Amino acid sequence: MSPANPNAPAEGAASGRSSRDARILIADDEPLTRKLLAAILQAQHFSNLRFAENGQETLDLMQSFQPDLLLLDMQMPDIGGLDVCRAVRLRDEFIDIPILVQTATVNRREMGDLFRAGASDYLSKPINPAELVARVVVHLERHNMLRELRNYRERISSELEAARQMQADLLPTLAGQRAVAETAGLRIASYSRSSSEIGGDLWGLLPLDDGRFGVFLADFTGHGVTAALNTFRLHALVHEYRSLHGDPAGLLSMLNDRLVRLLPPGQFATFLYVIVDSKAGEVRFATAGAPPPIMTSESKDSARSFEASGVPLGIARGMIYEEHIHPFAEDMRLLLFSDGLPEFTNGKDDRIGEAGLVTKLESIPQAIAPRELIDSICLAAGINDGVAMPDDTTIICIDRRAHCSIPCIIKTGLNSGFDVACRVPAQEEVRCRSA
Amino acid sequence: MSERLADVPLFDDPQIALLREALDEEDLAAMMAELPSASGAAIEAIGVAARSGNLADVQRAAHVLKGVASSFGAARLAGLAREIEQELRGIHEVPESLARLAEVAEQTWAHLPAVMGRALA
Repeated sequence: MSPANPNAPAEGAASGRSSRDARILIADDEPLTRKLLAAILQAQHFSNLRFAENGQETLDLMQSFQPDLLLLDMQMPDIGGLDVCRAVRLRDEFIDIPILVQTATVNRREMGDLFRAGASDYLSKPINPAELVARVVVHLERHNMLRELRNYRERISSELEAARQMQADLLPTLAGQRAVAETAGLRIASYSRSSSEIGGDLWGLLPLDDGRFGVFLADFTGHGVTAALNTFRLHALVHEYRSLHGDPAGLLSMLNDRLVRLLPPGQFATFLYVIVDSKAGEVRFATAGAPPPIMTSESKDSARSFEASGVPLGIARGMIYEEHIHPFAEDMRLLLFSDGLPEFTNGKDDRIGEAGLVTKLESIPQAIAPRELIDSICLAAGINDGVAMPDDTTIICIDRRAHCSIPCIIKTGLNSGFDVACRVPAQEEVRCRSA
Repeated sequence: MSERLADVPLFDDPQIALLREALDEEDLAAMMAELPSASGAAIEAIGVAARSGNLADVQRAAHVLKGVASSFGAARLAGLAREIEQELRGIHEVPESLARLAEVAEQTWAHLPAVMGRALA
């Protein structure tokens, strides 16, 4: 009988180890039975065996030997097999260790007790060597697979968390958003949520000159790792072509030509690039298959979608994109979003759709802050913190009314009976004159 | 001993065959040679429990005997142990059962060389 090493680390049961190297604890109060079980297992090259003569010794050895499988006699003199089973299962590290209970007396009631106590399986006596080996092998392999799956999952979770953080670092920080907004004299709020740890949406702010800035929003096909890796590529490309940040159509054409070469067939990105010029009171934008931005006007009490045109990036070489120019007056706000918003569904309710978003924006009190506007349309679309996201979703609200001269919050609050002012978070401080 | 048990062979050939398939002949012979002492210890434990009037301990010791005897193919001895464990009506029946146990144990041990086809150490 090979001597077991009581000082070997518990990690001896690491993933990938052969079942034959598994640590097996044989707990039986009858010495010749222990010897028989050991001989049968050793004949099949299981050599890492330890023995317990009673229940207490079993529990002690569980701790010191850290077995991969426990072969447990149902009846032992001090602590019965069922109680040993229960005690073992109470310990986190043994929550899924295979426990094979040997019993010479099997009736249906005892069988139920046995499995309720945490036994994985049972072996009837007299000992059937082939059955013993088969059950030990099956349970060890299952245990190994579970352990490998758990280790794999932990490693992937850890790597995805690192990737998630890296991807989050690509997005504008709150401080960065504020700085751009202050320079441009407006307010910006954003919402970004992936369908899994990482996603295929990316947005960014590109400060230009004289208070102008660009804002882009990309959405790669699919979601998950592939889409997320493509966002890193795109982020690098967008910043590589700094000279085109003032030329929406030119930037899209260049990005398209680069992505066509980089992306395999079937992968592409919708892309929207808007240059916001507060001084000129206009926005210039080009789009590559992205959902059309929606502009609201307080004075006209209206909301409308912009044009949506252009082939998504990465599909065909040599695409020319159109630049559009629209007024962006002091009473206007602009909503950019990826298709995760209009197409969101929780499986029960209908999608809000782009038309539904326009309708919703027309009904939202004009004076609410950008952050609250986003909250409000999320609510209308059915998106909340607890709901699973079927697609990556990004929403950006750019609100020029920070410069408006009308005490809009108070006015709307009074007119509608809707106390907006009290719901405006401190960080969303508006510059409107208060009444 | 019940009539049913009288018909049970001393050794269960299929169980012995299973052990032979799984174990080296020398290892099996060495363990078979230990059966008398192992089963003898269990029978002694039954006697001790009986003398102290503890039926539960009698049944527990009989359970141990049943397990070891059946696993080594000693079918009649295992059957008798099962009767003591499960069918005894009271402690007063133990002495008679013990006498039968001793008799069947002697027969079993004597038959071991024939089962193994060799003299055991």
